[in-house]
Parts: sequence; C-alpha cells; structure tokens
Amino acid sequence: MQETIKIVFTGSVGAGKTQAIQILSDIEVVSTDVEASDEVRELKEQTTVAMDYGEVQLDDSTLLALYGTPGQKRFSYMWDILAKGALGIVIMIDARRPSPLRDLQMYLDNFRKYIDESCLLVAVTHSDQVPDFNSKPLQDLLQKENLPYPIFNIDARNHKQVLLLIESMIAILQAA
Amino acid sequence: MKLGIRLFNQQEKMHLEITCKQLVKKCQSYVEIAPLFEAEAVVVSPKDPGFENYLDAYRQGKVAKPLVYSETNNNYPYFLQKPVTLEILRQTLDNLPNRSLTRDTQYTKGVLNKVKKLPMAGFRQGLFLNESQVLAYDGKSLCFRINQDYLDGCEIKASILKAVEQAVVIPLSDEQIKKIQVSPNFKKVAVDKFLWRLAFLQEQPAMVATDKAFQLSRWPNFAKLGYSNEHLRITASLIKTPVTIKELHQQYRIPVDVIRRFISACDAIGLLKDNVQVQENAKRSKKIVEPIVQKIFDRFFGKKAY
Repeated sequence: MQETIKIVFTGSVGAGKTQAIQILSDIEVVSTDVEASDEVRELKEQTTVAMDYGEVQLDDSTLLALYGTPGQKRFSYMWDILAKGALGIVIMIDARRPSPLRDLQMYLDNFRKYIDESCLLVAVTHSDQVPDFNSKPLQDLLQKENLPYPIFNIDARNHKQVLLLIESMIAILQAA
Repeated sequence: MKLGIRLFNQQEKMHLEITCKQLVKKCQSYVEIAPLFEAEAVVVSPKDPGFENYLDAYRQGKVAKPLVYSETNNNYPYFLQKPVTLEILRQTLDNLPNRSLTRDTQYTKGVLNKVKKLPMAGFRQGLFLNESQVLAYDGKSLCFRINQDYLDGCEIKASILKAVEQAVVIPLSDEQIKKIQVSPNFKKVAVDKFLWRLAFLQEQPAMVATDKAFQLSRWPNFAKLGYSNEHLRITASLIKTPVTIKELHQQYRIPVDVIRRFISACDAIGLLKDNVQVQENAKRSKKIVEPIVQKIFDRFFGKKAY
C-alpha cells in the first residue's frame, strides 16, 4: 500500500504557489484555476479557487503530494482540508502587496495549529520589484509568535531557490 | 596606555586580555584594551597573516606601534616576550617610549594596491566613500561605502562598526576612486552579504572554544547569502537551543572548521544571541532520522543527508 505525505503551499494571490509546485512536481500540476473576476485580475488572469496539486514519487511505496491552497480568504474553507496532516507548511508572501506583514499575520493565524504540528517556511517573492522592501518586520513577527523558522526572499521560478525551501524543511524536521 | 590586540590565535588573545585585566586591577588602569584605531600600541604576532603589512604600515606612520608577540626578538622595533606573564607585560609597557600615535596619524594617506591578498578580518584595507553600500574591489582590496543614514537604520550596525573599527582605513583621492569605479572588477555587494562572505574567506576561522554554546536569533537569508546543506543543518539546530561546536560536530559529523566559519559568519551579520548557555535539562538525544524525511532528501538532492 502506498503511503502519501504532503507539503502545503499557501500564501497571497500571485505569490507563486502554483509555480513553486510546478518546479518540484513530477507531473503537470493539476490546477483548479478560473478566470479572475475581482481585484486579482490586476495581478493575473487566472486564479486558484480550490487547490493546485502536484506530486513526487519518492519510491515505490511513498508519494509526496504538493498542495497549493487558494490565496483569497474567502476560499479559506479549503485551507483546513488541505493543511491537515501536512509535513510542512510553506507560506508564500508577495512583497508587492499593500501589507505583506498583515498577509503573513493572517496566514499564521489561520495555519497556526498545523504549523505547530509540523514546520513552517516563509518565502517572500517579488521583493526585487519593491526597492525598499524590508523583511525585518516579517522576521520580528515570527519571533513575536515564537516561530523560529526561516524567511527567504526567493524567485518562485528559480529551481534552486525553491529547492532551498525543501532542503531547509528537511533540516528543520531532522533537527526536531 | 591604550593597547590594541591583533592576534588571530584566540587562546593567545584571551590569555593576553586576561593578563591585561590583571595588570589593570593591580596597577589601577595602567593599561586598557582599546580598538585598534585608538590604540597607542598594538600586539601583533609574526605568525599571523598580514604581519609584514602591518610593519610596513607602521614604518609609513599609518598605524600604531607594533608590539611583536613572539618567543624570540628578531630585531623588532618593539617586542613582547611570549608567553606573556604579568611581570613581562608590566616591564614591556614600562619600557615603551611615551610618544603616542594620535588617531589622526593613523589615518594618513596610502595607496590601495598595497594589499597583496584578500585581507584577513581584523586587518582590512578600506575606503570610505559615504555612500550606501559596501563594495568589494578586485578580490584584493576591500572598499567600504557607508552612508550614515543607512548605517543608523541598519540592523547590523554593530557588526559593521566592529568591522570598520578593526580596519586600517586609507582615504583615497577622487581620482583614485574614479579609477576604481570604472574597473571591470568593480561590483556592488550588499553589506550583510559582504560581511558574510568575508567570514568564510578567512584563511583561518575564529578559534572559538568548542565547548562554548551558541544560539541564533533567526535564520540567515540563505537565498541571498548562499549556503551549503551543512549550513542548513547547523542553523536548524542552533535556532532551537544553545549548542556547542563540539555537540554539533558530534551530532552531524560536520568538521569543526566548517562550524566555526559558519558561526563567525553569523556573528558578522549579527545573528548570534548574546551570553547563551547550554541548558542542562535540554540535553539533546541522538535523533532518529525519519525515513520519510530521508526519502525526500534522497529524491531531491540525490545523496544521503547522514
């Protein structure tokens, strides 16, 4: 019987969750995208409403499932379903958003119980497009929340930088 | 008497500092350990890299008098017998000429290409341009560009000031600066990345005691700074609880040298927590690596983590 484990990618709309999963997945990502109809349309034409799904066959008996949650809070009913039992949670924050700090706080609040059961990585994307972007408030927030986990500024299209998330997650889990 | 200590052997340095403190206690502030740029004499070792450069700089009147710390006196201008004792230190300082170098005389003009190799931490040829970033030049010399506004708002201000304090600062003319800036080797490096790299480039890592505990205040931004798998594993351990180098070495089988360099780099960018101690009730047991985690590692990175 095949064992399945999962890593969940969540975070703001347009942060690159689908892209990150695509980089890691053995299969073409299964997306439940629809045409964006709200303010999201300014960022991208399509947005995820239920989930993204990718997978990596670790060996004959183990499958690593990669789930991407929808970014908007109104689809948050999916968050609990997807995050339950995850090996790790990756929160991806789009630095171009009006308040990345508020975004991070919201995702921490909603995923906290799953983070406490697994581990967390925060990936800040598009920070190169925000000249004055400072990740210190985000780091301070993690410290305040007593979450000793990394925050990396990454490009979700960069294979090496996405792998850094996985490699760090492994290091965290091994040190646990 | 303001005495600077520029010894790379940390045990020697610590011994000398203790001896100085003993002397202070017995002679009532007879000597104080000062930053290199304020020192009237600086203890240096012929075994340390940059020793000859320092002597050259002294002969040109750019730095404070070198007090050569050695077993034998090879006609050094000033000499401190090694190993130092309280009495030896007292006699040596007593016999030093009274003339002191002022801070101004340490900042005389020089030329940047005097540096033959990448300077060691603690002895850096530098340049202030009053701009916002630190720049590396040519792989031989290091050029600092620090804007005061940037520095004031900078999280790692203390680390930068420490690096600057230890530097030998050589102001350059406008012409020299222009020449550097058009050089094809001239490139910008963010200040934390610069300090991070510098710590790894040292020929010898700081000789911190293997039984001293360290803890990180937060994760380094590896996406920006660069990393190895060993760095991730050390970080994951150091972020949770204070750990000694010895424990890390035993737990992960990572060479002590690698751990020391990593800790030096974290120190350089202000990520080490102060005054941490190993908690007796937080002893770590040998971890059982979850097979599932190992499978993920093998799948993505194609080698064994352990």
